[in-house]
Amino acid sequence: MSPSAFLSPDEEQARLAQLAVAPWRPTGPAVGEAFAPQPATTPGLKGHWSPLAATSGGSAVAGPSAALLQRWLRPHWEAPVTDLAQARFRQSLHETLTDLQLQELALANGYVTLAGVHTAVYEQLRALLSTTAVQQYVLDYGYPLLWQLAKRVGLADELAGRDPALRPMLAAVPDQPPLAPGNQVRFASFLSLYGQWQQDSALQAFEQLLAEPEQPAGQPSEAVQALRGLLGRAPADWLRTFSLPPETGPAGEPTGAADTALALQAASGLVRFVEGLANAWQLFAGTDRTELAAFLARPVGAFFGYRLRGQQALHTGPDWSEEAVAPELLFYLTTGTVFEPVAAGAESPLRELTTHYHAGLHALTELWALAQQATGLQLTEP
Amino acid sequence: MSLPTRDFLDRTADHWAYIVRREQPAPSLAVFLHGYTGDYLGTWGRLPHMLYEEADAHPPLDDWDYVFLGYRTGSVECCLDIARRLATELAKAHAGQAPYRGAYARFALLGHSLGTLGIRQLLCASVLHTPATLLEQLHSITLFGTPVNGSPLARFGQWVYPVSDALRPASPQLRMLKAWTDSSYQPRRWPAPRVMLGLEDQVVGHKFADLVNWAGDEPARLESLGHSAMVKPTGWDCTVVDYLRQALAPLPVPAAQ
Repeated sequence: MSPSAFLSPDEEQARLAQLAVAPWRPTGPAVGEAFAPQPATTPGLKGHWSPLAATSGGSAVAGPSAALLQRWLRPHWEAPVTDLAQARFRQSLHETLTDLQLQELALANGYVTLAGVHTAVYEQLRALLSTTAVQQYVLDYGYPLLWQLAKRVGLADELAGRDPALRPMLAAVPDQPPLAPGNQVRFASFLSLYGQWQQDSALQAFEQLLAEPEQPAGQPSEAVQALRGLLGRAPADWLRTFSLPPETGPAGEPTGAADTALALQAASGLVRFVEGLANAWQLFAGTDRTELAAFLARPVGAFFGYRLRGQQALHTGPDWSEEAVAPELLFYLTTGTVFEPVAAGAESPLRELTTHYHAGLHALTELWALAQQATGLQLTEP
Repeated sequence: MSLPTRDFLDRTADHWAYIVRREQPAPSLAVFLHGYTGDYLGTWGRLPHMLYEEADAHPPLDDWDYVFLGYRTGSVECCLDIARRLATELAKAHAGQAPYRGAYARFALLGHSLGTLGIRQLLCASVLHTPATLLEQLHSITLFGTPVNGSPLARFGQWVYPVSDALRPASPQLRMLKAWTDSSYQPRRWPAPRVMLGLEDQVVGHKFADLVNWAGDEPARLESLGHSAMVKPTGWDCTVVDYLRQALAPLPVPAAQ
């Protein structure tokens, strides 16, 4: 069924207007300026630079711009990103690509119609994917729904014709399942959850830990150490002395008040991450969840310790599903009560909490399995 | 596949969604309000989807339209802020102002967790009642997982969200709200809130229901559910849908004298 059968033009316009001002939409000016389709007249990364012309035979843009972009968007595992401006630009690009994937999810679920967004999405996607450096970035870091979006907006043939390397990605796009009117409501519920996640500071703190650091490898950040220490040591000593200034101890212990606060915030975010994704998974029960799994492949993979490298998922990060099972910590986080060994008795809510958390982990495991299948990821151990 | 009998209006930036009869709006509106760190649709799991697709096949749900309201937890400082958010929507819905498609004469209020405190606050803050006859137009009030005496979890959230203060057990806000409720209920009265607590609820618990009574409440009902699960239906035959049916059922006709 076409979305236009159940979605009025007025409602669609209202949704689009709301989406345009949603506070969690990407705001990074760097990508917006650099990739806005415009006449290419002046070299330079921002403002007047057009990647379109730089890569598709445009004559006005000098080569260095494309080279510069290629350098800025290099795989960080080949050369770490230390420059702040580069890091911001990459983050902005990541947000833009994620947003485009979210738009594909919206289209796939009939939340908006292709007619309603076609021009804007086509132009933006064409500008991005016609740029060699961005294309490579997408291939390196994996944004699987972009290929589906390219096919949907009629860009696939042009891309495949221009670059044979893209043909396998475009050919692997699955056929779309039939659309039911209720899918838009499921997606709206997901969007509601997603919007809440984006504004939840605890969840954001945890997602910072999940994100792959692009700086040179070295010691994990203090926050990571603090959170992992907290998870590893709870509850024997640290939780008992929660209200006391933590001592500086061996690696893995919180090292200061701010660190402790961040670790607790991130730990709370971890619990919400599991619960939130499990809720999203349940929302889509009874449907083809392929797109949802593809959209969430990166954070869910990171949760299990996998970093995406094109079609490979390298097991190089911490596996939070193993770190986070300390039921005493969950007990503490959920009840605010300091753990006592006696609380582990038959009447303790600890068992219920652990069961609930494990159910969430189970949902995430299913989600990750489908994400691998949907995106053709191959797991690689280090 | 047949066309749905309902329209679905969603305003994601406004934290608002509306499920309305396609042909003609229903005469009554059920209003859903989420809790702490919840969101306007996701909190209720598959319920919005179920109502959109099948409410008209499940009396008495067919006689109602539905609105799901939300707020950003970081944007509210106290229960009064949530009450104002709710009051604003009720005033618009009563007047039939856009984006509502009809002027509603009766309302059912359903809240979860912190949202239930916003509802309690609205009941006793008569200055927020638009129309002034609001209490008479309330069909039912259902409070899922209401913090009868706050939540121990609030201690954990106080670094992040100011409204956590309202949820601390025996907090000044909570004490004031309870006293305000007790004193307002006597002269004004509102439909007895139906309170559902969860045996597995580790967030607000259920044991305080034996010790703390809020004026006007029906005796609390205890279901074997957790705090989040209690408002997420697993299908049409489940606890939250049973409560919704009760909340929207026609009121019994008073016996003739």
